[in-house]
Amino acid sequence: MHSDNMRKNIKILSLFLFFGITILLIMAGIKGKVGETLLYQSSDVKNIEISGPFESSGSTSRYALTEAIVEDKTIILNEQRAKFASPDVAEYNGKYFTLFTPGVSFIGVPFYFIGKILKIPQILTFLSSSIFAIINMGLIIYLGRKFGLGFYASLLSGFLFLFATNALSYSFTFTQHQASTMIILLGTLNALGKRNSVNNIIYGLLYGIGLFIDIPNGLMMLPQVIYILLRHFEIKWGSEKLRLKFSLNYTTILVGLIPILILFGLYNYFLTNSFTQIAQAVGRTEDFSAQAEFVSDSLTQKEFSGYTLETRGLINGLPILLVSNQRGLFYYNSVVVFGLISYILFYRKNHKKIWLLLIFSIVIVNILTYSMHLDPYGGWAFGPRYLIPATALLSIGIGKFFQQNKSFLYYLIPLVICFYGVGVNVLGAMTSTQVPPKVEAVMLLKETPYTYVYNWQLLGEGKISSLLYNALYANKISPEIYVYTYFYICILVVLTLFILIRNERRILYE
Amino acid sequence: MNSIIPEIHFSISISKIENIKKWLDKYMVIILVVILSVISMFFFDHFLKNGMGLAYNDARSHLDIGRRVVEGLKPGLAQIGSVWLPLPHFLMIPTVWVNSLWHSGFSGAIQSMISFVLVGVIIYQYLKKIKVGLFGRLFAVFVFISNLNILYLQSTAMTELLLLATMTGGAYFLMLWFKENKLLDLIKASFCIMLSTLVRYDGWFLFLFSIGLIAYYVLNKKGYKEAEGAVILFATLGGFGIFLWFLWNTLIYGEPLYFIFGPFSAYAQQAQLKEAGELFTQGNLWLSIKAYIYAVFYNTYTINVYLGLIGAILFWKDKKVKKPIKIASLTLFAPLIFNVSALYLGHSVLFVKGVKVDTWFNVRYGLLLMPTIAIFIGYLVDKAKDFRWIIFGITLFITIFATMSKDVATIEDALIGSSGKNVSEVSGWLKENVEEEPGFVLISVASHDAIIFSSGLPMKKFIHEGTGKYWKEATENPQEWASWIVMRTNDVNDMTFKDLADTNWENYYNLVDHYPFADIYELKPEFKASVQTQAVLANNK
Repeated sequence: MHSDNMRKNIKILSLFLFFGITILLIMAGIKGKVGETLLYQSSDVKNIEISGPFESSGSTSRYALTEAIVEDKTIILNEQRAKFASPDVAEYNGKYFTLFTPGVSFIGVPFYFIGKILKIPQILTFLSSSIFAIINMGLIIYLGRKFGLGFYASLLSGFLFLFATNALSYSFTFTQHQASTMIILLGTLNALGKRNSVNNIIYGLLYGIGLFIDIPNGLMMLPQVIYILLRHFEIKWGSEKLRLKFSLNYTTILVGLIPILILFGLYNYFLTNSFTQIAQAVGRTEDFSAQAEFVSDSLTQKEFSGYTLETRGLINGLPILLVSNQRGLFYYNSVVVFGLISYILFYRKNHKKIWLLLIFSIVIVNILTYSMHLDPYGGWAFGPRYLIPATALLSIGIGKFFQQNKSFLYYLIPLVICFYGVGVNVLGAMTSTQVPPKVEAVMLLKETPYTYVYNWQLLGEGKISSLLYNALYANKISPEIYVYTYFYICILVVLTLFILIRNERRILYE
Repeated sequence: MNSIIPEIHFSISISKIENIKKWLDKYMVIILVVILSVISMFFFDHFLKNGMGLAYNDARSHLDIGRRVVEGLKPGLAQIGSVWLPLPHFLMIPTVWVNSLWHSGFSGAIQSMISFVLVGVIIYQYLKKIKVGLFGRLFAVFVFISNLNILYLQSTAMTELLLLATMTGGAYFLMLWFKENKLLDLIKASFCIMLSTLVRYDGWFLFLFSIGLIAYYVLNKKGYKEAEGAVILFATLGGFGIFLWFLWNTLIYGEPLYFIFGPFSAYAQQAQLKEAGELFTQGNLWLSIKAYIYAVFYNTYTINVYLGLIGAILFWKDKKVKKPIKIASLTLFAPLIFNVSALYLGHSVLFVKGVKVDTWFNVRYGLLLMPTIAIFIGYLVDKAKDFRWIIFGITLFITIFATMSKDVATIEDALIGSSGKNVSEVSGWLKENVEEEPGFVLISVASHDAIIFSSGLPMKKFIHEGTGKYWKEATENPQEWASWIVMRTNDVNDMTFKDLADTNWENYYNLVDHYPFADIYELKPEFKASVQTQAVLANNK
């Protein structure tokens, strides 16, 4: 009894320690430039050079909207902001607005507001993504526990998701990836939960917010919608009759969904004079294509506007997003392999099959949706940024793999793969997300690698994106030492968790 | 809050469910025939109305070949020619004499439409015989019939669906024979394969491949004598079509291998491509495989290939499936082996976007694996149990997006690829200026059959290579027979230009229009009075 209490206390302490380290690591990765830290906080002049927070229009376009809402109480971008947001800007009837759905920008509003008071609006606004990233890690840990993973095994799942996949890079950008992942994880939790009106209304809200953040979330959440629908059916095979019951409670999803859809419709109407025409459908404006003062490497990216999905894209899209050295899931986020293996182990043992089916469905829809996308690369990006939701769902099971009763030698290669994942993704997070796809890299005047070799090159040139490093350590240690230290701390956490998992299993068997 | 929300209740007795199951099992083939027939007719009508029904120039040529058997200056069976194998054109004969059926393309499409229904039923039956459940069987049929390329090719006068029906039928009966060893099944298989040998040369490969499988299986199981008997029995009927084709070529052209080495053969076409450096798959196995697999991807939306592959692996690993059935199932892969081999050996040409070129030609060849893919997906769904709904979802998801993005490679192949040269300008000119006027048009069908079809003029208005004395007379003294000449000037591959080379035809004709694919010449007014405008030649042989 005494030892049980002690174990419990140790676990609570470990949890605090774990989240403390995670938060510190995330803080240490937040983007900012030496000598220019404040430059990013002004609404007048902004530096969009590579490895800074504004290196990608994926972030600037959303940030411009947040800034416009707080500063000018409008969702229309003035010319200066439109230039800043370009090329992801649309124009309709003389009004400029962000090409993206506004969810991320709306979420950023309170952060910006507080940041404005503290005179660091950019840092606080971008912090929303970092907070979502930590929440996602927490959700993965929670889902892992629900799946039956051990305490430390689930912590490992969460940690590897955040630090051994490209989710880390996108914890420091003002983009949709972490927010979408959070909504999808919450939706999964909700779908697996008890079906009552409250949960259905919450699910409706989540679905609506998901659409508000990024339209493809609507597709990725479809398996949840179908699963929830099926759960409203009750089939009873009697000896003489088959009884089927369908609860119209399902329709309460609409109660949560409709208000968000109305809000979305009004947003669209204000911009495009149509409730259903989204900014992507208007397409990019060419007005700022030759703005020399804002041209950076990131602006040479050639993303396609809109959400055109073509089955023909699967021919190249699948290999690009799964195995290529440019954006391959298994190349950048190789740790998910252990999640997959674990799910197969679960499946064979008939353990939580329905959960597995739901998770697999979402992962498959995520992969298929973006493989059909005309630009599966996601423009200039680091790793398969579109597959971060799938990465999160696959990560849940990782801990299970390390929980098996196997020798240390068995885990040698898996651990090396984990270290590789941490190394690659720390490198990406500490430098830049702006890696060109091969098709564009070969066209550039300056020879530019199209894999994480480019990030390695940037690090060698001293282009490190960490605000902490640039503000405090730039004159004391080299960028490499900072990144190595970051890497070693992550490795230490992984190894510690690995040892704790083995210890936990030993205690369990004893 | 839950209690105030109503619920819908429904109940049905178990015995009723059992009866429905039995009824479905008993009548499913009939139900399928009805449903597939309706779908088939709907899509024929759809493509006819949107003007895509005869997008392939080859489709128009096929229809013209059939039409020439029953109408023209020299009608008769000899008009079947040697460019293509004869069965599709023979099947047109009962309907092609009706103008509306000829020009709507229905004469050529009807066999594709019937074949579409047949393949659907064969897929269903194939899976039933290997003990796949109702859901798996129906799902496989759905995968097949929801493919837009299949739906398009079943609506047009091309030969793919007929080939699929005969080949898949052959594979089905061969599997039955391997499974149950009933002689009748072997005869049925050889009959189907014999028909396929009269549709496309893919059938010839299937014939030889099947002989190999039969010989291997029976030799190992029952010894030489039995193997010899089985092979002879199979080959006698299965090879009869090939024998007839050799005979036909000997009788009509005086040379059994005329279809291989004749001036309009695929061999001659490939030789030209080779000279132009466009036969890039020849001698390159990797490129041959890549080109064909890409063609399959384009035709089947990629993901189905992966699902089919997983199904095939599971099928091969399944210990419950007997070895003979596994051996027989290899026939389903005959199109893959044949096409890759043909590309490698330079006997076939395939242009697929993304493989060396940025255009299309013959991309529809990739569709020949569709029944194979459907069968193995059906098997996969049956075995996947819990995962079957995910596979169902994936397929539905892909089908919806394929439809939304109008992903029909075969239509693109027809319209913008090398198959789709736009002949409407020339045919439009003919329709406008020749229809009401007396007189003949001198033209080569080998080069311009699509123009003849698209002009909408009756076949007897044209003097072509197949019109015997008319052609001979008109190419010697064109001014006495042809009021118009349509040809590619200075192109010796155009038979009209080639045969007119020794005459002074330029003195009698004015160039009235010049188009990318042909020039139109009209007899000068001063010679019009003496030109022949009636079909006056008797004993035209």
